[in-house]
Amino acid sequence: MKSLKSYLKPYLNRPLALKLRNFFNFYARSIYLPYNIDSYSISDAFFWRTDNKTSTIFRFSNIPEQFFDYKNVSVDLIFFSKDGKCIKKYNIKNINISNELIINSSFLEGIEDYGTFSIFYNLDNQSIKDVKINNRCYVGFMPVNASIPSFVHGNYHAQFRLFGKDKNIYKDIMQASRRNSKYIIQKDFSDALKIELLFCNPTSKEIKINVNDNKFYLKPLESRIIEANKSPIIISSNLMTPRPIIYATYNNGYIDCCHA
Amino acid sequence: MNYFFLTSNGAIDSEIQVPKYRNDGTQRKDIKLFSANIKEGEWLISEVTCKADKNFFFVDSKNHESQAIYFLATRAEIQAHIHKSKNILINYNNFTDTTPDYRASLRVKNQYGAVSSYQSDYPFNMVERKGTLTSSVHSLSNTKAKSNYIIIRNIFCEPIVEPYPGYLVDKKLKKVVKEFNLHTNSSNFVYIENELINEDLYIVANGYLGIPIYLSVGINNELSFEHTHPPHENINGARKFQLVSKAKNEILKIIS
Repeated sequence: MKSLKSYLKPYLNRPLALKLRNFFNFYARSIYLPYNIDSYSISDAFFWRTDNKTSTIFRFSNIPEQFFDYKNVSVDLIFFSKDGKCIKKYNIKNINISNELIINSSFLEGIEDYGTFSIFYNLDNQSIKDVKINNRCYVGFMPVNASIPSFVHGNYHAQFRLFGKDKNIYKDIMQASRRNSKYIIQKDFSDALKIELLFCNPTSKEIKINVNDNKFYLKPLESRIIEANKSPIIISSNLMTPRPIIYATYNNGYIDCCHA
Repeated sequence: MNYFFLTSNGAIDSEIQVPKYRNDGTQRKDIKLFSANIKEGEWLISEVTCKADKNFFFVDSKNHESQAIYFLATRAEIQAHIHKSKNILINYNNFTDTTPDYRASLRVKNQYGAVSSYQSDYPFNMVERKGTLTSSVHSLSNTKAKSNYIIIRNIFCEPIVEPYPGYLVDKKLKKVVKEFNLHTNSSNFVYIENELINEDLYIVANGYLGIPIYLSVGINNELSFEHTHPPHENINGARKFQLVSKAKNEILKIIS
């Protein structure tokens, strides 16, 4: 016999119901997956850094081939500046099972800065039914004199795109709320020389973030690197899971990247 | 509930930072850090004496048993299960069951001062299950590194240290390129030769679950330490486990 919860679930996960749940803080959810859509490709919001001659190494898999047996899969990568402006679109055709892209200032036409990017699969001219993909991936940051990157996996689902002709990017997988959430980073940084926190706004609304009383706002798709200088690092935000990527620098220039 | 663990080999030491607070700031003042070690076929539970401050317990592999597992509980919770806990791991409490996830940090370090960390929680629901682990080696290894390892950490609820098979498999060539033994309730270091690394290479552990954590050591002694996602995190929808099983079975056919 089916439980009451299983009958209610499809209704409770609809966009309007989710908004009401989050508004009244009743079984609030920080992530909204597009339950009512048959097929989609979700991307995390990945950070790129080319400032100080840093390179960003991006590793991604061919999930449509691995799990759904699709061939001739291509991907679109869309790069955003820290101000949320689209600065580059890049297509890779016939991707391998596992792939690497090096993002440096020459790849970004001389830009030495930081921002975010997304990746979406294309399955053009192929029959698509019930293909729901999350692209979590791995990002490595490599300072100029390093021999290997320090890798961190995707931080949270951010955007999705449908397969086919609709190339719109749909945001609001991560939810902003009218209430603030508090997130205290559970890591000790006492021997780090420098702690940078990488925040972005994957939603369609302006969000506010407060890091140890340093308050700032991010418009949709904007990103910001904040230096933190004391532990514990206390974050409050109307983004429901305000969890940044950490880029910590230690003696001799060694870096440690991880998610908070 | 989550377990935490250390790892070490000749060149790498490690430290776990176990927070005394949840990520929303709540604390339990009576919470202590305990370890579980296998001695003569039983779990031996002990309160850990280690460096600590008001926010963290710090446990390092130089001064503590690197194959033990660590967890947070109260003395009363330990006492309540004192007999049963010799034979099976116990889900003592929900202090570390939070959304967003509670994070303890496992940090590897070497003599040159390089460090790298990842969030090392081993959830209780994994310790009760057996299964197969597969992970794409290309995703996190580095052909330009001085050395690459995959650390397969298994925690199983019964107090047993027994071997189970591990493989490196080339999926395209449908070929096993390396076989090795792993052990339950251990941090297993698997050395990956750079010339073996390609996009079709997978590591497979057959019989028990575990977390595959990739450690690369650069020519300047940098460290990179991160785990791959479990395959089911790549897909949503009702048939995700069916699709993952199908993909795993393709690899299992190669090793059978």
